Amino acid sequence: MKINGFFLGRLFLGLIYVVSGAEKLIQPLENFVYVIEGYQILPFPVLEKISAMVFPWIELIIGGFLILGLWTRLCLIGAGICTTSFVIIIGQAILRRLPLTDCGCFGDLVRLPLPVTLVMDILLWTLTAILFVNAGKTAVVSLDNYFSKKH
Amino acid sequence: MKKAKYITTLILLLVFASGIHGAKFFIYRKKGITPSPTAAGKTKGSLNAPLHIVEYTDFQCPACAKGADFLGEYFFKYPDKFLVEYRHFPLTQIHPNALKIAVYAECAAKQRKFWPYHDQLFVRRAALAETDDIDGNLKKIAEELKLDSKKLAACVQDEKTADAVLKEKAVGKGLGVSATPTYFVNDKMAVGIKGLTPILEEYFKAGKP
Repeated sequence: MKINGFFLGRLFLGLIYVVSGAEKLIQPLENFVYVIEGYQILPFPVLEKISAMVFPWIELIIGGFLILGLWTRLCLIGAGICTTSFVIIIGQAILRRLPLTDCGCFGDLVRLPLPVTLVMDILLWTLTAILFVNAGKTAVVSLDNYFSKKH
Repeated sequence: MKKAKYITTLILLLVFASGIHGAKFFIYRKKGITPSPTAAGKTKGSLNAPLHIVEYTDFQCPACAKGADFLGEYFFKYPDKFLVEYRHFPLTQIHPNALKIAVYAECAAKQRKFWPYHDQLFVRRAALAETDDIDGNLKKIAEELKLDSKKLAACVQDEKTADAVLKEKAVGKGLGVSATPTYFVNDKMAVGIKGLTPILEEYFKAGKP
């Protein structure tokens, strides 16, 4: 079993998603609804509530599965879609000069200004792309490998 | 082996769900709104009012200023329907002067002038955010409202005042407060005006006593 930079990158990316998702899920739902409202991107309150309910679970699952190396390719596609969405959402908030002092990405843990978050998301997108292109090397020490070897 | 992979996936999803719900239960168990020892002087309205609102706000937060106006309008129209209790939640990470302002407000409460001071803090929110002389500005508001300056100074310098403010914030955090303004309307949490509006509209539309 060779641990390489791609494996460490997968763990790092997974950890970011786990922390982000878990933090939002542990807090009352109303807090993340408020964050989504601040971005003024969804037309109806019910959509904001549904997003607040669903999205953190997606983050947690992607993160957890990336750490364990389960459904790695699928999770990297999901992570890619997520970070693309983040870049668009935060980018439009900056362009529209919305009155947001921090992104709300990690709840109370870390408060990051929007430009910093945008840069971070672009870097995460890049990491995701690199890991996806090198999926074989990314999948070392993973449940995917375990199940495929047994097969 | 594919079957084993799917079963593993399902088990992991159940583990994640259990972990999150377990953590929430552990963190928020028995957490209802309990009376605050520093509520005196920061409460207004009718003690028998049907709507008890506890608000966690930060005097430097723009949304809180709008929330104060919004709730103020309702309070003005239906003063006997509300008991409003203010609790501090200074967001010191993003508002460097928030704690100091909260301390001054807490000291105004001790001289029974909390609400007039509260109103002025929101009216002058933008100016207070930009000033280099925050103490000077806060003292000036106190002078205008005829607070006793010696008592104010002693109160502001007393570490117990800041401790009381931070303790109030810690209680809020324990209830899950993260952003401001956060309201608890008869123990039901609402964040921001958008969260508060449906609760108030539902109450008044239903024509409740």
